[in-house]
Amino acid sequence: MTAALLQADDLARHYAVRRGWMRARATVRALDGVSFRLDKGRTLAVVGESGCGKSTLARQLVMVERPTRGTLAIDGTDVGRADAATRAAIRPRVQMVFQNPHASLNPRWTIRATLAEPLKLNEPALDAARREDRIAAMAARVGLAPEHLSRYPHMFSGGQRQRIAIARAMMTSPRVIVADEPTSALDVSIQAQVLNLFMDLQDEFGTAFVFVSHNLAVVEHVAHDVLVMYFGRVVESGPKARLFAQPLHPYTQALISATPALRAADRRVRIPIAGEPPSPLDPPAGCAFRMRCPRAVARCGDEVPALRAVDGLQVACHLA
Amino acid sequence: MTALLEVRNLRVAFGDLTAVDGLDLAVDAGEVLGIVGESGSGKSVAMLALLGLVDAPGRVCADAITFAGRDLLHMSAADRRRVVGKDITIVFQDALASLDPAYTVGFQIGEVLATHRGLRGDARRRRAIELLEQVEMPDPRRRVDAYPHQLSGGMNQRVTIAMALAADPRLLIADEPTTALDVTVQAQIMALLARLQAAHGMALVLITHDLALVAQQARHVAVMYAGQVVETAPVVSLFDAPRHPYTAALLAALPEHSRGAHRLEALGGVVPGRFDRPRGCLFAPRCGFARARCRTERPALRDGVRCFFPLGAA
Repeated sequence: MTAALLQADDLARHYAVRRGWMRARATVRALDGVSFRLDKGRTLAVVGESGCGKSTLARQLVMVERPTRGTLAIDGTDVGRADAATRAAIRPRVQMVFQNPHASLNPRWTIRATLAEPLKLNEPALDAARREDRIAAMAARVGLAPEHLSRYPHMFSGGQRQRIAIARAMMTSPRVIVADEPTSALDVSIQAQVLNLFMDLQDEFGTAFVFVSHNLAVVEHVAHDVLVMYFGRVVESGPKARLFAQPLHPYTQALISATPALRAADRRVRIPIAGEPPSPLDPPAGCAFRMRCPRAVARCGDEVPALRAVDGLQVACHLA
Repeated sequence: MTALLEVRNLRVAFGDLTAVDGLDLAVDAGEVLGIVGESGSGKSVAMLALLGLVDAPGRVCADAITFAGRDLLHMSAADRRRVVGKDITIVFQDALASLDPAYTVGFQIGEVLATHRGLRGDARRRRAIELLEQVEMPDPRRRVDAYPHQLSGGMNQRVTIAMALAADPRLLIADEPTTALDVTVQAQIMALLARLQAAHGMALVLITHDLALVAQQARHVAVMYAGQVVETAPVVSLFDAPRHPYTAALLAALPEHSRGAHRLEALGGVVPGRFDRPRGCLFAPRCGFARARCRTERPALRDGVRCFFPLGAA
């Protein structure tokens, strides 16, 4: 078996937080033992609600932080323990697209300068003319006109800005793009354009995507595999079709049933779940979902369920 | 039967930007009306204008705005305040921003009770706790003394709903009430709004960009584009057989519409801005069915659709 583009094993990131003067520091286990594999040309969707650790996961993948525990291998290199030079050399291979294109572009830079920056940093040997060629080619690829390059971000609509952000991420020919809620700030009609662009780039360059989203309709469209997270852990993962057809974890079931559906035929029986996720400063014993779970039993309070294979999925539930 | 709220030819302009362009709307008592539209379609501004919340330099004019037979348009500001906040209330998208961080949620609910119900002291506090119970706030006796920053987004939204209900409104406007919330909490809040709407028999106007949410919650839908209502219909017929090309394009762009397909049917172009408003139909530049007449003449809303050549018509 060839090495995966991205391979995470038991990846964890904990943060120490102050709770107030004279009080002991607490540890927030924002990401607590996540494992997955991502291959060329595939899309892994990471699904979950606020605070579930999906953005923390994204930060580990683009090497903004070092994981507290576990390994993260990019192209077979364990980047968690690698030295700074190795990490810098690998960084261009994993690029990021952020949620809010109004905040992620420098308002004082022209689009040309924004697209030139990744090349200047990562391919300093490139001469100006060749750099300009690469910029023009990528701008055209994402649907920008040549005259757009000398304009500033405020002159573009949200959808166009997200195209610019995608072009910037693609400049270094990355093997993986981590996209953190890339369409949630966009209108439906614009979202369709941006999702199409992602799919086209994947077909053309074989780019792999880690697609962080809370929108299950979008996930169902773009993903090959899905990772459902709750409270820093994976509660269920597997191939998209399998997971949407018959989710096994009560949280996944609730999430899918809570998503509004356009057609009455697509509406599932609502599995009402009460309450909200627990406080990260005061994690519950046992399964983190048990207080909201309609099926929780005594064992759920004693023992953290481990991920295990059931019917082609990985599920962390005692009852699945 | 006359409608509870009737709006005819509402226009809101900020300088040379026309935000709402001839909006007609009727809401019956006890009805759930969904207003959908993309950003900049004028759906929120139209509602703010109804409530008299558009400040200068914004200009609001209309042929008529009547609520329960009373003319809101020519009412004095003092009279209007006795209607708005009591009979018509609104819940905004960002609950944390619509609450005052310096006061407890109980105090803020109490203000509404004092103004519109004349409640004082213990009675006011008891009623505030009751309202928090009604909106299913966990542990309402303790939470009544909490400040907004001590509550989660979902709980804060419950507080603003409790405030909106405090004076037993006949019309509740919910402007993207769940957009800032997670999907499981969204489901809780929407179920709560539906229950309260039925229990109080109040009319609910649900403003959202989420078509699926409207399909699930509303009985009637108005679709807005560039400040105009382009189509209005009962939920079932709108989603099964859209008649305006914009409605059809919007539905086609949803991922769940193209299930199994590789590409989504994207709608090209952007909503016209202040300088490029076309002379004819506002949607004509992006419309796949536009003909010569669409580019020179602006269609009126007729039989629930603002289009010269509605889809499905023979």
